[in-house]
Amino acid sequence: MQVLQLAINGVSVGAIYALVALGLTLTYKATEVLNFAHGDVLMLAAFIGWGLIVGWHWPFWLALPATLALVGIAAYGLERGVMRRIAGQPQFAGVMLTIGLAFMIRGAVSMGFGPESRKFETPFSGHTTHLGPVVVADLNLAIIGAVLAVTAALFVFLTRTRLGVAIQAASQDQLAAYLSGIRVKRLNSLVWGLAGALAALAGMLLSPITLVDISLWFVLLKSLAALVLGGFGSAPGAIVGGLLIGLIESFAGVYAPGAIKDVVAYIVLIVVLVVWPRGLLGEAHGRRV
Amino acid sequence: MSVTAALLSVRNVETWYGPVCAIRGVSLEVAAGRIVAVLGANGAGKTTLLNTIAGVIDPFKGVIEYRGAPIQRRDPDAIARLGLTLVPEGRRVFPFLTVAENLAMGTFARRAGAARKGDRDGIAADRERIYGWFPRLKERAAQHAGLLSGGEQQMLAIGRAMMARPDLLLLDEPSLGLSPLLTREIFSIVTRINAETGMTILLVEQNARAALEHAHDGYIMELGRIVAADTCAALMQKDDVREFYLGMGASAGADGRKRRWKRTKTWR
Repeated sequence: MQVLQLAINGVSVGAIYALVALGLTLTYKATEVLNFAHGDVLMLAAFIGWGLIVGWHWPFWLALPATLALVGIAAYGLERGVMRRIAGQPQFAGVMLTIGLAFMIRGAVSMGFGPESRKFETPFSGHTTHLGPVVVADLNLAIIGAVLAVTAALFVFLTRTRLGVAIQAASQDQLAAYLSGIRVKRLNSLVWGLAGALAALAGMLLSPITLVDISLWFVLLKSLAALVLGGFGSAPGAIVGGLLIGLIESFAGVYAPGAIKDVVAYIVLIVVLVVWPRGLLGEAHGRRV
Repeated sequence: MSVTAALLSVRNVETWYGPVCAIRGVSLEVAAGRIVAVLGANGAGKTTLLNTIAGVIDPFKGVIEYRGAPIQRRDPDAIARLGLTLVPEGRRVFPFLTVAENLAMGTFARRAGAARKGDRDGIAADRERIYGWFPRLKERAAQHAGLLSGGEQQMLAIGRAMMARPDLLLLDEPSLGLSPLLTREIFSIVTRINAETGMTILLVEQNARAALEHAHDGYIMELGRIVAADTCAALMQKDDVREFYLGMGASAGADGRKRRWKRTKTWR
């Protein structure tokens, strides 16, 4: 019984990690930049959602799409205005730039909203559902459902639509995509916008569990562990890795001593990097040139 | 060579890779409806020339005019959408997309309006026509392009470019890494495409014999310069071309020794 309970909690937290890892994978594949500001975009989205719901008294169902749209547009603009300028530079340029952006977002939020944590209510908060013998918080069910739906929609978009296949094409061979007349620069901005919206969704789903707080960006580190475990650069790997990290944390919280729960994701990260750096679903072939 | 209406005209183009000057003031003209071949050895600047025309590299100097309007320093995707499509060196198909998806990607360069609405039939018809030229692509339509053989990938790269319905097709070494048999097949299809659709083709080749036999006009490049320009028939009659590029040694001289142009003549 307890096992089932822990599994469901683990899956719902893991679904958030998966969503964040998926956003990281999308931008990495499209622009070859590992976006270290992704966690802070998520945190910013949680504060914007709080501002709309608590500050302006918007209903949750209006604030959620508004936050997604706002953050998505901001991320689109970030690629167009900033990230595009370092295209073609060595990878560490992207790392340094996004770390810088992360600190700027963090600073702006703590100046604009103040350092204290806060919370907002969702339609699911405080309700529970009995699934057979297990009692599950509705919030957890909503998280799992939302992540499932978004992942499925993303999969259909990337494999079945002309635009989605073009995004894949541009990530496989950017030059050939340019020569085929695909507007690669615009697509890259679009992918960043999409990833920003995914981060915003993760923020709106995660902050009711935790709190709306600056430290929400830490979820990025857990998601990096998920990425490495699942296989860097693989979208299915991001999802599997995220779910596994969530499960491992959930079980470690009960069966492992002390505060192992808080560091177990990083232990997994190190072990995977040492023992099996390709990860579970990582690409077998080397990187394309 | 009489040029009536030049579709593409390149004038005094100079391109640098950092401190290295890869092409040094090249001028050439491509008339509508012709197959034009640029020949030259490794490092002559042929690929650089095509990449400069297609917008992959920006020229340092010079003018590239397409339909009378300058196109240099524009993004390669914008140039592709003008109807000028490059099949790059080494084919560069999308390895993890299927053959059919690769072909579909070519349609992004179709001229405005055509791809947007009501062109479904046109796209389907073009795809069938390409499958007609390259029946092997049809057999493998659902396979990942990365699993095709080199020749099939070349066919796919040409097919993908044709899906754009270009007015000017640029081919960078279509025979690269292919057997003589496949090279002949690719060239005969290139000739057929030109005859059936009237499409203008500018191709760059090391395989001089195949290129001279199939093209109408030829340019010869050496060390970043154009050193000869004529119709292919005329080029093939030149002794130096015959010796350097076709491997047909000149006949023995009066003193019984083999006369070799190479010793006495350079292009510079």
